Amino acid sequence: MSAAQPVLEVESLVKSFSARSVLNPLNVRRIPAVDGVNLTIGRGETVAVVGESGSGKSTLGRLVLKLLRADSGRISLVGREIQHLSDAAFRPLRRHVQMVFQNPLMSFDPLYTIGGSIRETMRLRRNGEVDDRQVSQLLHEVGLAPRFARLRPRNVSGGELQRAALARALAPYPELVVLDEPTSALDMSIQGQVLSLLREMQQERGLSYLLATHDLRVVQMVAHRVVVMYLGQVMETAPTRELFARPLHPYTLGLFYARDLAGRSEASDRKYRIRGALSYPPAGYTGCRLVGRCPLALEKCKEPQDLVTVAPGHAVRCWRAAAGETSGGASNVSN
Amino acid sequence: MLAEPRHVEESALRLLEIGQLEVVAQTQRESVKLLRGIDLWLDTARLGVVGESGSGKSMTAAAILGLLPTGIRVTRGSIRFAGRELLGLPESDLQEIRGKQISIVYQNAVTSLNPLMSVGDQIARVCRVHTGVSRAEAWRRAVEMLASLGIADAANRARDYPHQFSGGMAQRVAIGAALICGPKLLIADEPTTGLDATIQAQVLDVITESVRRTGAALLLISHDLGVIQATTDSVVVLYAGLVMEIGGTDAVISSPLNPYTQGLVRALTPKDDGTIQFIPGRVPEPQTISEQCPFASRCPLVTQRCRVEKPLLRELRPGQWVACHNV
Repeated sequence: MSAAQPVLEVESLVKSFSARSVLNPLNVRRIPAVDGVNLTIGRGETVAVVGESGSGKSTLGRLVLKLLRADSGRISLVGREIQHLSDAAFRPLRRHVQMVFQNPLMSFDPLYTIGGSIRETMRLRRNGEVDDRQVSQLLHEVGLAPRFARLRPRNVSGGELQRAALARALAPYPELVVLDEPTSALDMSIQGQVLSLLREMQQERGLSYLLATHDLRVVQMVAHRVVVMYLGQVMETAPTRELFARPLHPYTLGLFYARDLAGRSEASDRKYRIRGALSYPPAGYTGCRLVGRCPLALEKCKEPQDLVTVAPGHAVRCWRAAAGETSGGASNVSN
Repeated sequence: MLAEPRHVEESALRLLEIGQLEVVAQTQRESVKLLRGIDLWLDTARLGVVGESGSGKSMTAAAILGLLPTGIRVTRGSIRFAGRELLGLPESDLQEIRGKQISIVYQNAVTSLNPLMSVGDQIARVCRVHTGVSRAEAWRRAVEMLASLGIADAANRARDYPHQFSGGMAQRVAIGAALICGPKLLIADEPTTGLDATIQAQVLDVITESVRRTGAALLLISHDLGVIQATTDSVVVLYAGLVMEIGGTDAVISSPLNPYTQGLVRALTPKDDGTIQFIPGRVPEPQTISEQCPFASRCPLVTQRCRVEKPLLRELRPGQWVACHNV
């Protein structure tokens, strides 16, 4: 793999689920969890995907890990297309992409020791070598003493177990680690330690991260680029610094505004507040999916919206944002 | 058993007053102090309790309601509510108080509601048990309550079951059940944790607005200082079962005195370069703390005294109390 080649390339990726009503099983709806997403992650880069629950950020991670099969689109991992591969054909590539889940206690087998779980992912290595000394070495790298190898998940704290989860993910030398809300189950003071560890591991190993989170502070700390998703679509994408300095999409502005609990007022509510809760668009609707919740929506928003590039690396799916009608006071919102 | 004299003098004025409360978990091998003598009082309408897991915030709420889990009990202190000592009250008296005078809303509304009962029935039932009104009247009040909490088409939605509600809407239902009997005190234990930020803002508005309208006092428990800042007038900072600081919310956040509170406040806001300064180390296991400041192992100002002597609350600024030997 050359240095310039991206670790992950995703093109026009689509995945929808059918939801059946409990009371009326004949009433089946297609829910577009990931709907035409493009995404590239370079070597040593962290891309954060943010959005409310239901935005499709976890589904995107699961598609990249091939825990789910895409309906259509292309996923290229270290230069190999993986979307059509069978599980058996994907297995040799599995070592390139690993995962750290939100709740470490639920992502470890309770009957295995922590060392046992780490040895399990080591078997994904090209030669399948399993070496107990390397288990200690990995634990050491994530800041855990060798004795943790003999403990079971329930006997260690959440922060320690999340470190062990990272050690397990790193065991087969992956290029890409998918992090799904890696710190939301942890206390604030422990979150910082896990985030610093993620950054250190990235610098030492040239790792790439795909980080799904709703926590904008986490994004600001570790991500190089941000993708804001809503109902399966990318609403805005920009380098982290740029997005925090100049958020443009009303949805992004609304996410920043919702975080600033103490700074709310009626005047700001009218400009920034995302109303109500996420709900799926009716079949056949092609306009902006935020209409109904967006404080700035106009009639024209019910037409299809393209992702428009407004600055290098900064694109937004909103005609009003692209026309410069949304940015006023934006930086005030983010602080 | 009573704490310092100031509690006795002023207790008649205060809706809630907790003095030197000590809660212990008793296992076969050892007894572990979960609350090591905490004082807190309601001077304002909205009091926040902030702390990390293991700080004892939920234990405090459970102790007030007399709902401590099996094996965990109060060993010392007092909990006075509206001038009446709650500790030692018979269960029948507590049942009269719970739901009618003191209500609680838990973190996950979808699991705290009964999945087999319509939400209207659940709210109406609380009303009937405590006030003895007719079935029809209780239902009418339940629908009215749901409407007042911003649930559209409340008359029909009242017939729906909890799984048909989103997290934010289910939390409104739980708030409705808590407020239906017009309690004097609403305890909200992490009411918005796990909700999306956009929904969190809505639910906090509903809580703030409904306690204002009904005149109930609010005790809001959260690990998130941002939530506390937005919804409370005063705040109690708990750490490993000890009160570290008490004061007006704005005063405590703008000029915290305890080194632990200072660390919490720093972690709230990113620095200019985007990094966040977190508190190093971890919360100690409760069985490892004896007569000492529980924050000693992580504190930048630690001295020998902190490791051998528990700090007491002192009023260093008017209305701002701090437990620390070194400020």
